[in-house]
Amino acid sequence: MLKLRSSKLEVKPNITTSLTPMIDMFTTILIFLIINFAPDESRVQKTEKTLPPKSAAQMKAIPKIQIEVTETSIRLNGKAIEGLTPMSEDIQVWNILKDELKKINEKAEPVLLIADQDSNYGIVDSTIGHLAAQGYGEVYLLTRREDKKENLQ
Amino acid sequence: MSLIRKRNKKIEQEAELSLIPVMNLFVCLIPFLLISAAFVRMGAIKVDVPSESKGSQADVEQASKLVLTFKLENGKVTVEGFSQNFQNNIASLKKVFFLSELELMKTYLLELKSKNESVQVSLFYATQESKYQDAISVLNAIETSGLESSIAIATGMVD
Repeated sequence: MLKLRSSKLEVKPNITTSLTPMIDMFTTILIFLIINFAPDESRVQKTEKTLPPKSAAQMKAIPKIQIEVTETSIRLNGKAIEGLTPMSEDIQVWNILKDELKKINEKAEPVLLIADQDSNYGIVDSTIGHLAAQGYGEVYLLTRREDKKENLQ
Repeated sequence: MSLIRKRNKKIEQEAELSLIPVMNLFVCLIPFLLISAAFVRMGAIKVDVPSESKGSQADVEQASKLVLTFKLENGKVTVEGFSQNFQNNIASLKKVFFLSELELMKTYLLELKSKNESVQVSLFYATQESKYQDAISVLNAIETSGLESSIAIATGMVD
């Protein structure tokens, strides 16, 4: 019996988990994420469908008020405003946006306007016009920076 | 000799590096960086919009300076120069550029800047049917041309 027990103990394999490949993978991911670290830019609240137009402009600070405009809706800080479309001619409908903006702040702060590159300029123009009427005189148009590769082509 | 070897082996086994704290650190750092990462680099073009509060002050300031207007229509950009609060249209400054010639427009604006240093405001207007990307391309060309003037957007009237 004793012999049997001792032989069993000898057969038992010594299992150790090698963490080295995992550490390698994590290090690679960590470096990639540090390169793409942009806490300000990640605060832009836009839907995935919206692809901003390309430009060489840079963004210094993200305005607190962000308005996303599509053909059928207007979103204020990521939240859709029901019943309001950019081409609405009824002033009463635009007053909903005015009320929502008042809830955020009383002062006319800079506004970040987000629209898709393929959309008509008319919807942007209409929204800017209504923002101007409400006293918002400083507007930032969101763009995405051109890749260096695209510039070379 | 064999005893010494055995002892050495024991010592080697004891000196194993513990990677668990490193793993803990990575597990904390990665979700944080993943949330804060931006895979598409963003930019923004600053434009001024004529509002009630700005109007009268701007009128006084612009009286003696040159104002350039950029009109985007049917894939063409028409550049015009005005002075004395839009009362005097300087015909010699008028130029038309296709959207594919925005680099030419930038060169033209640089020439203007070297000749006339008092360009106060660039006023931009685009038709409703224009593509937003085209409008941004023109605005980007104005901004990067080195005019050092603010860009104002002319919008439709709101009652």
